[in-house]
Amino acid sequence: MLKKIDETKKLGWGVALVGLLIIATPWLLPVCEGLLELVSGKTVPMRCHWTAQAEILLGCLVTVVGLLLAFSMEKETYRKLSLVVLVLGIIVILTPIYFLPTCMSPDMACNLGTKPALILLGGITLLFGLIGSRPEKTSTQE
Amino acid sequence: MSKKNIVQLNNVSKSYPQGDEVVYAIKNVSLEVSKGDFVVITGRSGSGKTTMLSLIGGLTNSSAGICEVFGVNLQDVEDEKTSEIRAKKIGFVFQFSSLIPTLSALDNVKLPGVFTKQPVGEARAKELLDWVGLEKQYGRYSAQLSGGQQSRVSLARALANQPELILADEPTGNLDIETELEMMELFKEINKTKGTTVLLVTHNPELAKFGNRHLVMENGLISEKMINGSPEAVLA
Amino acid sequence: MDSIGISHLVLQNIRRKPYRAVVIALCVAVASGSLFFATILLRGVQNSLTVGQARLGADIIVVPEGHEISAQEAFITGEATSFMMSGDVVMQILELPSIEKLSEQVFVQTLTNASCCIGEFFLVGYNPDTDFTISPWLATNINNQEFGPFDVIAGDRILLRQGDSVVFYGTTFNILGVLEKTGMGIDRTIYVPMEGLRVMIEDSATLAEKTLEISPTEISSVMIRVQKDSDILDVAEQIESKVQGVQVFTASQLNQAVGDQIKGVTGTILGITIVIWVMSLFMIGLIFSLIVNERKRELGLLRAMGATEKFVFRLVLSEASLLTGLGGLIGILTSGIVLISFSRLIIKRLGIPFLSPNPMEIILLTVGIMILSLITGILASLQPAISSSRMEPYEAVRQGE
Repeated sequence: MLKKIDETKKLGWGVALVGLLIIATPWLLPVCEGLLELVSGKTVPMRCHWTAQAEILLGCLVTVVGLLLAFSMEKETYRKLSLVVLVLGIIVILTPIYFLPTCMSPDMACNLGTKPALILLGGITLLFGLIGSRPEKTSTQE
Repeated sequence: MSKKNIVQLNNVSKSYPQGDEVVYAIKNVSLEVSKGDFVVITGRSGSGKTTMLSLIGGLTNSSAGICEVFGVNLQDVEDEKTSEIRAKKIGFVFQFSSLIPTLSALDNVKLPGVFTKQPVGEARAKELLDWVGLEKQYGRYSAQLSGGQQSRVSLARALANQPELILADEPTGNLDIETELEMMELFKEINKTKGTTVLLVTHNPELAKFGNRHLVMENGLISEKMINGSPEAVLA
Repeated sequence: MDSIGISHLVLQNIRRKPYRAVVIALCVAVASGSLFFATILLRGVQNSLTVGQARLGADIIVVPEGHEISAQEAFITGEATSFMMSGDVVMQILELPSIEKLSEQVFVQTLTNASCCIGEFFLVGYNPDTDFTISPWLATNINNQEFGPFDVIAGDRILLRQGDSVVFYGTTFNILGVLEKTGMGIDRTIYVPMEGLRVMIEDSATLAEKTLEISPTEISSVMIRVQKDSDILDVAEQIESKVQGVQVFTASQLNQAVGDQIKGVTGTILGITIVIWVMSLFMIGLIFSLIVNERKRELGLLRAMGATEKFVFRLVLSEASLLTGLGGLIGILTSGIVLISFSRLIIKRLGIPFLSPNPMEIILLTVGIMILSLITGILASLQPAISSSRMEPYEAVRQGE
C-alpha cells in the first residue's frame, strides 16, 4: 500500500513536469515569427501562433492535474485524474495536427520544431495517463 | 559397514596459515555417519564444528585426509559433481537468515528445484511451508518474517529436494527457547518419519537429547558421548 | 508461476536496487543512443550525397565571383539565393577545350508568402535545349510528353504535386512532375524552362508586388560536363583563369564541403560516445564488483543449495547484460524517436543534406549496437562474475555472520 502511494506521487510529479515542458515548448522551439498581411491591409499572426497559445493553456492544465495527482490520496480520485491526463495527452497531440493546425509548409519553424515536440510531449502525457488509469493488479499472495 | 555410511571421514584435517604459523580448524578427525542417524555435534565456538559441516557438504576442501560423502571422495571430483550432490542429496540449514532476500518465502522454497532440473512445484512448496507452520506467510519476504519464521522457511527449503542428509549449522542459534524447541521437534520428526539423516551443530549441549548420537568438538578434535548406553565411539 | 528459474532471480535482483539499475541502463542508453544518432546522421548525409551527385550530373559549376558559398548552400540545402553574371560567360567557356556539355541556369528567389503560407521557393530557370542535369530525369518521369514554357518540375520537398498550378510573380505555372527525393537542395527547387522564367521576370513589373530586376541576358550559373578523358580539375582551373569574374567549383568539392561539415559534428558525437562507453564499462565493472561483494553470502547460499560455479557466473553475467541490453534498447529507441521527430530541424540547423538510410541498414545498425551493449555488460561484469563463481562457498556463506 505504501508503495502504491509512492508511485502516485512520482507519476503526478512526472505529469506536472511534462506540463511545464509543454508550456515551455513555444519558447524553446518557437513557432513562426512574422505577420501575414491580408488583402485588406490588416496584419495578423500566422496560424501556428494560435497553436502555441492553445498549447500553453493545455500545458497549464496538464501541470495542474499533475499536481493534483501528486497530492491525491484516494484511489478512485487518482484513477479519474489519470483519465483526465490521458484525454489531455490526446488533445495536446491533436491540437497542432487537427484542432489548430500549424502552418502548411513543412519547412517552417513551427513544423520543424514546435509541432514534433508537442506531439512527443503529448505522447508522454498520454503514456502517463495510461499508466495511472490501468486497472488495479489484484495480488494473489498474502 | 562402510557401504551403509553416508558420511565417512578418515583423518581429515583443515588448516589455514595465520602469519607464519599454521592453524588447524580441525585435526585428524575420523567420523562415520550411517543412514538414519541424528547426530548432534556440540562444542564452543571456534571448536571446528562449522568447518566440519562445511567439509561434509563440500563447501570447502580438506587439507588432508579423505572425506567421502555418499560414496564420493569430494577431493577427487569437480565442482559439477559436488554441486550435484549438494543439490540432490543434501539440505543445508544455516544460522541467521539464510533466505534470499529478493524472493518470497514460497519462491525460496522453490529455489532448490532450479539446481536439480526437477522444479519444486507450487503445491509441494506450499505443503512444506504448511508443515513448518507458515500457512499464511507464502508471499512474505525475509524482512517481513521473524527470526523463527525465517528459520522455518530455511528448513522447508532444505527439504524441498527431498534430501537424504540434512546439514544444520546452529539452526536455532538466534531463537528464543520456545521456538528453539519447536524447531528441534521438526528436525526430529523429519528424522523419524522420513529416515532422513541429520547432522546438527549447536553450541547448546542441552539439544543433544534430540539426537541418537552426540559428538563433542574441542580445539579441532572430536569425541563421541554415549547416549542411552549404546556407544559407537569414534575417537580422534 | 509454478516454478522459478534463473531469470526470476535476475529480475528480482534488479528490482532490489532500482536506482542502481537505472544508472547502469542509462549510461549504456546515452552511449548507444548517441552512437545510433551519429551513425544515422552520417549515413544519411552520405546517402544523400551519392544520390544527389548522380542527380546533379555536372562535373563543374561556374558561378559569379563571391557567390561560391551561397551557390553551394543552394545545391546542398536548397536555401534560396539569387545572383547574376553576364550571359557572355557561356560563349567564353565554349571556346575552351574538353567541354562536352554545357547549360546555363538562372536562380530566382520567391517571396516568403508568394501565395499564402508556402514559404520561400528556389526557382531555377534551365534551358531545355542544352540541359543535361534535369532533362534526363524528366524524360523518365514524364514519358517524353511535350511540355510548354510554363510546365515546371518540382523537387520532392515542394508540397506541390503533379497537376497543381502555382503562381509566382503573377505568372501561373503547372506542375508537370515531381523529382525523386534526394535530401539535397534539388528537393526544394522548382525547375522552370528558361522561356517561362523570362516571361515571369518581364511580367513581374506589371503583375507582381515586386519587380524582378533581371536582364534577359543575365545568368546565374553554368553547369558543365567535361569530356571523358580530361581532368576535371584542369578544366576548372582553365575556366577560372580564362574567364573573368567567375568562380568555379566541382561536384566533388561540393561533397567535400558537406563532408567536412558533417564530419565535425559526427566526429564530436562519436568522440563523446567512445568516452561515455569506456567510462560506462569501468563504472559498471565497479558497480558489479560492489554488487557481488554485497551478495557474497547469498551467492554462497545458492552454492550450498547446489548451484554450480557456472550458474553463479551466468547469474552475474545475465544481470549485467540484461541491464546493458535494456539500456542499449532504450538508447536506440529514444534516439530513433528524436530523429523521427526532429530530423528536419536538425538537418536545417546543421545545414546538411540528408536522405534516410534504407531500413535494412537501420536494422543492421540496431542489431550491431544491441550486440555492443550486451558485450559491454558481459565485459564489465566478467571479472566480478569470475571471482564470485570461484570463491569458496564456505567463506561466502560465513560473510556477515
